[in-house]
Amino acid sequence: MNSEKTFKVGIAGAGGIGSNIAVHLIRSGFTNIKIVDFDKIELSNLNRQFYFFDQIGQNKIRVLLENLTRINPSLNIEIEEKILDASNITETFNDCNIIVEGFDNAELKAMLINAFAASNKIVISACGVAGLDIENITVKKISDKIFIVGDFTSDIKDKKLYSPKIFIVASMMANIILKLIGFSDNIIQKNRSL
Amino acid sequence: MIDITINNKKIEVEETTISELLKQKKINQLCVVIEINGKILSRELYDIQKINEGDKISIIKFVGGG
Repeated sequence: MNSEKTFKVGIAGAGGIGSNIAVHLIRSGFTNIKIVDFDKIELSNLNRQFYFFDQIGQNKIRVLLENLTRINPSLNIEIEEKILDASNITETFNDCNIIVEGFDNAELKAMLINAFAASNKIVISACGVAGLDIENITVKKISDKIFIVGDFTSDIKDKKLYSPKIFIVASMMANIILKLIGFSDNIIQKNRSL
Repeated sequence: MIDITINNKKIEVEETTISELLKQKKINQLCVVIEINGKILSRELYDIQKINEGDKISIIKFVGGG
């Protein structure tokens, strides 16, 4: 499949955004992915992240791989358990050409975009995903290759996180990625099935 | 004073640095991406880059959640 050879998606953070984007990509038949996170699964994650009650306490990245493998047993994605910061983020995703920003923290979100701004990598990020209002979710494109999805105002300092809005934003982000990679609406597609 | 555009709104500001502008607006520098005339400004230049007449500036302020 041309898209698998041409594109590799790096997902920074396996939380609400990252884990659900991974699900969408795998379900769509795209598996050339690297996912990086350091965290363990907590009860509070279950309101939006692709984990289950009996997985609490385990490492997110290893469990996400298990969960995704249950969707597609033949997948061979790359995972790395690591705390990402400005000093290691570009080297970590050096071989990826589409980068997903899946952080929870505002400073890390800005850090990622700034880190890749001078590169030719495409970045898909989320900004403003808290609460229940979905009417103001938009896609902002900056500098020709950076896409930011969200309402740009709803902050976790002020509003709770809910599964539907997180899922909507993650879905929009995944959709952008699939289009960029070259997935089409055509029913008859070669080698697209799982 | 010079005329610039910030997030599509025309505004008159003092000739100053990006860093100063953010401080005046009480915006945390660590939470932003700044685009000037279509190009993302590197963080190292926030203290150095001066705002010029006619500049089109986008300040994208990130909020937490993911």
